[in-house]
Amino acid sequence: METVTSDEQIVERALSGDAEAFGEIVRRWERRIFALAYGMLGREEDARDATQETFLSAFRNLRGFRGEAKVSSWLHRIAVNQCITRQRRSKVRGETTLEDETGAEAASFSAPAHQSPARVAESRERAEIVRRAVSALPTELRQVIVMKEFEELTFQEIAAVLELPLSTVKSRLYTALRQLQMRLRNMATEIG
Amino acid sequence: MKESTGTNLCERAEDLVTYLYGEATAEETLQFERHIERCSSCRTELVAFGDVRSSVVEWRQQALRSFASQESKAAAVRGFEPVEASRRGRSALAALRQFFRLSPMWLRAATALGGVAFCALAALAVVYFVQGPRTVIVEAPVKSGYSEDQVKAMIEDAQKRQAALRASETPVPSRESFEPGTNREPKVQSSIKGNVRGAQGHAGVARRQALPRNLVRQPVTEALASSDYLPFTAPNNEERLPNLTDLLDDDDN
Repeated sequence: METVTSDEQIVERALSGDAEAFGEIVRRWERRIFALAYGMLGREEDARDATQETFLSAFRNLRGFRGEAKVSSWLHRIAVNQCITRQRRSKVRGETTLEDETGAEAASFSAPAHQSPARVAESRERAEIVRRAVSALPTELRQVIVMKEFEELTFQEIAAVLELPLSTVKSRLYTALRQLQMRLRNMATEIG
Repeated sequence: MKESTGTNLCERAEDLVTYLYGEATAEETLQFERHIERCSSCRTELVAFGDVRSSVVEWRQQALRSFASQESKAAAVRGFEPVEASRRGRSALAALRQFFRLSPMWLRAATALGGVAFCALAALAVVYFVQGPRTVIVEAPVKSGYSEDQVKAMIEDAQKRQAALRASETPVPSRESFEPGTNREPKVQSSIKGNVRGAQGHAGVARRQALPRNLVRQPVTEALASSDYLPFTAPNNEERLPNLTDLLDDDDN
């Protein structure tokens, strides 16, 4: 029976000179880090860039990883910082905000083949509404909801990544859900 | 109960999200379920938040499906085997390469530019080491038009000529008899002879006419100074000019 190597063991291997070890970390976490970045940034291209930068930053700072936190928390923290930095840069450069974007991004989504075109179109439309609603949240609320819904991290893990008290994470998530509910309702009313 | 965003909220908001995401302990779950039986606000929010979650999950699934499909497309384009099969053989470098492959155009262009610059530098380094280091002699800057060695040689040359002149005790040709700008002796001689034979008052005028115009305007000393000859010395490759008395003697003969 094949034993599952922990992330921490893989990082140790990478630190001891195993060239393939970091690649294993990337393979394990790229999808989830992309999901986090996508949830935070709302644009696929930006999410890909942020994902790359996250792993490059992790690779560069591998020696600085002291094992005090879990590798996953460490990676998520880097990813969140990358996303926040990108958002700040975008604001400084005056780039188009996510809320202003049209449904072009949603059109790139791939849908299951068994769905009818009408169902696919409806699904895309809903996804676009959610994307815009999430993007309109303040950063501190958005990162919590994305970590919970996209990453499926526990409250404890989110608290560790963001270095926040557990109760703060829960209250932020509650506020985020409430704001999303209101925004989704308003958007649905506007469209309907 | 507290008022927020127009809806009555229960104090147990944190318990609500803990219960919603299934992270409550068995005891907490039991207590909250008892609570929602009598708290309509929490019941309503629980349903509404459930709808929000399902919408967000749907969005997430679409986004991740898009990511997965693009990953498989990229793998197909590369001619790679499915990810599971190729997983064992991939290195950290390959994983990073994959990320660069997915990178935007500006990052690729920058990487390409850096690669070209690196190759150029590497080629220069190879050429340098193949040819071997050369000893580069840097001469001290020369202040005038002559190098230090040239000046020394000229001084020594002048000294030798002066010494030779002194040794032969031959009278040095006077400035008046020396006609700069003309190195040919016959012309000098005929010019001087003509001057002697001609009217005495016209001798100076005739000599000025024989001289080049630029030298006529200048005193003879300036003309000498402007020439390449050192003052009071004759160049080695020229014969010494005869004295006036010698010429007169020749005519008499």
